[in-house]
Amino acid sequence: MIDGVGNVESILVLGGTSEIGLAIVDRMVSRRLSRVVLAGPECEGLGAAAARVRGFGVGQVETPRFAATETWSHARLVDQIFDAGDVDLVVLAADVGDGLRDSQTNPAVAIEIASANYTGSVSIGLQVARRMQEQGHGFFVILSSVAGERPRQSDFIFGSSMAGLDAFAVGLGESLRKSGVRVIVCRIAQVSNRDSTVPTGPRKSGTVADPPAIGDSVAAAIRSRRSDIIYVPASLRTVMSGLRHLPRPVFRRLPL
Amino acid sequence: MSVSTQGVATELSGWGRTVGSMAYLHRPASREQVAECISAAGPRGLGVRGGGRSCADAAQNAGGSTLILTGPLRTPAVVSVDWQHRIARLAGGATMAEVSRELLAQGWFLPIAGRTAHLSVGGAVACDLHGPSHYSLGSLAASTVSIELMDAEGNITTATPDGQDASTFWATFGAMGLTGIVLAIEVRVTAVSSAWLLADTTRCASLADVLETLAITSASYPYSSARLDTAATGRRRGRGVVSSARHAGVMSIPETRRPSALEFEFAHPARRPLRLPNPLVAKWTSRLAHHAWFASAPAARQGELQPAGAFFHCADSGGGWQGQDELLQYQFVVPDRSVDLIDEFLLAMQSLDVVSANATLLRFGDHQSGPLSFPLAGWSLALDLPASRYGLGKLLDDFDEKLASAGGRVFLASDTRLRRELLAAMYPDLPAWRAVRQTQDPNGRFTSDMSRRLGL
Repeated sequence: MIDGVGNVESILVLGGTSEIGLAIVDRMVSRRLSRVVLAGPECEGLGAAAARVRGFGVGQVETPRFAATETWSHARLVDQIFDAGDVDLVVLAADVGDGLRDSQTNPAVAIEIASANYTGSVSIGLQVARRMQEQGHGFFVILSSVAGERPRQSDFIFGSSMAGLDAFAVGLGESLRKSGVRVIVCRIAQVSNRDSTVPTGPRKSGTVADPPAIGDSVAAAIRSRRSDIIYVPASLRTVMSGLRHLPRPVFRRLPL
Repeated sequence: MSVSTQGVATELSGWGRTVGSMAYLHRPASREQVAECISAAGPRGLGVRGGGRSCADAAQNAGGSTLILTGPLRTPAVVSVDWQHRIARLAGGATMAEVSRELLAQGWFLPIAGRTAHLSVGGAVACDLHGPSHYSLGSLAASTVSIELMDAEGNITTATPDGQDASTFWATFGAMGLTGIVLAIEVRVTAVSSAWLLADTTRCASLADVLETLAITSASYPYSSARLDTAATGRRRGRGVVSSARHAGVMSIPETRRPSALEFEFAHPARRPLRLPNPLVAKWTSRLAHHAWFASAPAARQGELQPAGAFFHCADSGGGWQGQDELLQYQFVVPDRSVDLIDEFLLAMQSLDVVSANATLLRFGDHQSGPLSFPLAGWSLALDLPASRYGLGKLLDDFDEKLASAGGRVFLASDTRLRRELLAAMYPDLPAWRAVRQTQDPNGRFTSDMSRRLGL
């Protein structure tokens, strides 16, 4: 159970190798956290992530196989995880393809991005929502991106998949109101981490987020229980409300 | 007539709104319907909810069933009064406000009153209600003659403090509803001629002064408590106002009020604190409000007439005000030898810039109590804290450890965050309680968010 100051006893990260997912686990570590499930593709990275979480002092770390595009396996995976005990916090960090310019010319890559980010997330998201509704409590954090708010010429395949995911997440949050389950949609700027394709160079202040900063923001949102949609960095909320209303000819000229 | 076994899906939280969860709400109106609900409980079990005034998560049951007693299980609140032995039989689902109103109308008073009047009789048993009379009368358990309890098989037991089911009786007080459903209780009541109190107030300039004054008034008044100014720093840290009272005879109250002398004047409905934008309850505004409250308190006033409701139920008095933060209530008790921990706690709170609007200090006496009853001889401090304040969780965790090693404990009816490892240290009779719970509920049907969190 989640306690009065936002400590959780169990976490499920869908996309277990995600730096952001691990940063959230890092921030939620307390003496009460006893079980972490890192669901992800079978790879070296997942083992390393599990070792890192064990290093946080978590006693029970599980690493079941999960791929967003293998939608036929989602129901069984989720049932298996929830049958072993309540999950207080679920993090969906399955997004792929940010900054892959290749996707605009290669339909196969574009379809993979759309499948993983949207249809895959919808599939696993609904399965998680079903079990969380049954247990009657918990936080479901869905990592979205500001790229979905207004499509950019440079990254519209990823942006369109994020737009779908974001709309799904916000709608899911509304449908789960009064069910004891809170959905937090985390809209992230470009992420500066090891698996990001953000170009190196001077950081654009206010538009780049570090995984630890994302972890901090999610932990604060869980503690306060007030925010359903958070932006990381927080200043992005203002930036995006400006960008959203910018005339298209002007927006087109921006170096985004 | 049978009650719906499906229930109405409802999101429930404690009074502080810190943790919410969804449960299927049932409103049984007879003992048969309660038994039916118990037998129909699903894998996530069943819990009971009273007035919903506790800040804890004990009256929530995520994904399971929750009962609210209604009909004859709630009304009339006072089923009967044995005038000869001064014993009243109360309905388990009634609120203490309803009980007080009906008892006073007949010239009786239940001398155990907590900070709110809106908790239910069953809830009062579940938390072993205590109040500003604890040093003399003990908690509710000490005034209770018997409890009528339904176990997880639907069997009804009447448990008394020294009868065959004495262990069930004592284990039920403070058990947060996990040993059975309280259908009715019989308690000793006091005869009064008015619903008014004569209150004396003393303003104290330091914590030491408050403790000394409270120790003195505890020896000479039936009711005594102190409210602390948590914004005061330095030498003034812990200063506060001690209020003590005794019942007013009907001749002590103004003639115009005498015809309604036994009316329970309870002007305060159940209201949550007013939520103001956080900038309005910033550090300096909170401090200013506390300074103004302390400065306006009389240095020494005697014989002020106060309605009993206003004196006892400070948490209902309009609710005060707070920021947008959820409220985390923290109440602890320390034995006399560890009284310094109170000052240490106030100092720690100041390191986080936390100012509590409703800090109440009580003197507890030495009385027989159950394995999970909170009170023990010493001093108890209750505060409302902003739940989302960064660092608060760690600070309270650290303090819990000091408390446990000093022989103190936290109040489960306020708790939403105690670590389960510390529960056994704070409540050393926990194994005895578990044995009774096993008898009353061998299959673990009685469940709550608290029982899951603390492994009860």
